[in-house]
Amino acid sequence: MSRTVITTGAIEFGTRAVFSDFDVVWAGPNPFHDGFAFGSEDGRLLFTNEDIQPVVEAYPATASGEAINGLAYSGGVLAVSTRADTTFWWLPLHQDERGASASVSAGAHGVVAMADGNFVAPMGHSGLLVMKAKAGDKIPVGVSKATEQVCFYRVAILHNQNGIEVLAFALRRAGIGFEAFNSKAENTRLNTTTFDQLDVVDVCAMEPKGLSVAAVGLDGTLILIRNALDLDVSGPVTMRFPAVAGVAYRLLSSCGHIILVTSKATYVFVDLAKEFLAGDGLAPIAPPTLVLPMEPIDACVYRDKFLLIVTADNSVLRFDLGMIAAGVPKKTAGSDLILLQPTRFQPDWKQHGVDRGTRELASI
Amino acid sequence: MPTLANIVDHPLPTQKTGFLYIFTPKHHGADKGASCWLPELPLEREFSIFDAADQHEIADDAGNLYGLSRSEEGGLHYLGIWFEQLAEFPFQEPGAKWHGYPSYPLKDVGPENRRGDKCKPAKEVFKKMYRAILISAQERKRLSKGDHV
Repeated sequence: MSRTVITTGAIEFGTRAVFSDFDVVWAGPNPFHDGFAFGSEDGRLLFTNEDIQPVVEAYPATASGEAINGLAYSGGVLAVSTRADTTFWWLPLHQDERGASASVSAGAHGVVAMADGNFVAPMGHSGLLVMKAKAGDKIPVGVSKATEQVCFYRVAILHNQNGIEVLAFALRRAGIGFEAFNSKAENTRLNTTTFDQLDVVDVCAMEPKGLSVAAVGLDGTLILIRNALDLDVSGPVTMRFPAVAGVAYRLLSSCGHIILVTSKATYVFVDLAKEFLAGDGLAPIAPPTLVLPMEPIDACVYRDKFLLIVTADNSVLRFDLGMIAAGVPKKTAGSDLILLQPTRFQPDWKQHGVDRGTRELASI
Repeated sequence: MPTLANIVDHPLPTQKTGFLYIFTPKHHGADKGASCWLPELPLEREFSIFDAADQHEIADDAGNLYGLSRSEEGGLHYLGIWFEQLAEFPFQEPGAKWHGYPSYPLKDVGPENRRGDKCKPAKEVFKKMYRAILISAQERKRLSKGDHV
């Protein structure tokens, strides 16, 4: 395998990096150092610095060799997910030691690490994979299934002021799910909020500390929620921007902005989250919006500093969020800057609880 | 199409190879645990997906065929009740009738006796779809991750 070469060039608000010998499909923060991690279509991982230059050679990181769709790190263990499996790497404590790995033959849509060392991976209709990252004896890997037909598609972690972690799920037609994370409980209650005709495909936290959450439907409908665990006080606010084109792929939030990635463009709604959280949720918001036409594959936010977008032409676009925050509202003209007027509507929504039980899938 | 109570034969064979096709109750609502076609998807559309899969030879190593249906807006239609955007038509011996069902590109944990199954569709299937210009590079990369398009 030849060495990965990345060529960079300047673009408005950031940098474009073109990859060679590495079919990039996924991007995220480098869990070990400043910089980024990239996953390839053939299951390799590549770590770079913030200038998107490799710091080590790309290496195979999955047992299946399938395209990487998630990575998380906790307690000396790196978890890498693909549609076919989830691979865990126990990293060596000393340079002369070899790391060990084990793979669970269960595909996931991604993986996140909890504060207590557990990994959680949404596996679609198969349920939720939960595994505690620890070295030593065989480790049980649990699969948690809902008692009703629920598709665990995406997951985000919310943190309340007391350090409690709440999992927020995009559950497709079952809407959004919330659950205070408790790894010790075999049976838990997943509170779901279902919206009439909405197919929820992604979810994200709107602030580093808080239970506010944003979600997006396949058609680009945004759902903003002030408190995931208390929808009775202030229910979800739903809005649609008619000018948004394409199928919604990802939803991110950073620095008070909401970032919607669709099949045709990336939309940065400047200060939308900030204004929503500061207001009463009733006032209409028409945020300055940066529209970036492209063909995205995936995207992530890095430390409220950069927005990374993987594109179909084997490139990664690194946008400086500070430059966007400062530059976009000042612009008064230009084809890429518009004030998108949202349409507020209130689809029927209802809450109900779904029991979730865990069984052991395997030991690794 | 409502739930099927009996097997229904398609009247015509595929244009290229002459494969015969049947619509099965199992994948049309009779088996709640099975991958089922969307009730609103016409049977003729299901056959046309199979016909195109045969036409373009979108097959894996085992001879299973795979198909899709593109919407007028450019995206891929959902085919199944569990958001599947691809369909699988398992290989049949010569002379046997084919059938199919929606297939999601994510490996189910599955029952014990299926744990050894490979992830379907195989990566090669996505590459064939891409080479046949049935999907874009963007769609190939997202489908290979198990993402919707």
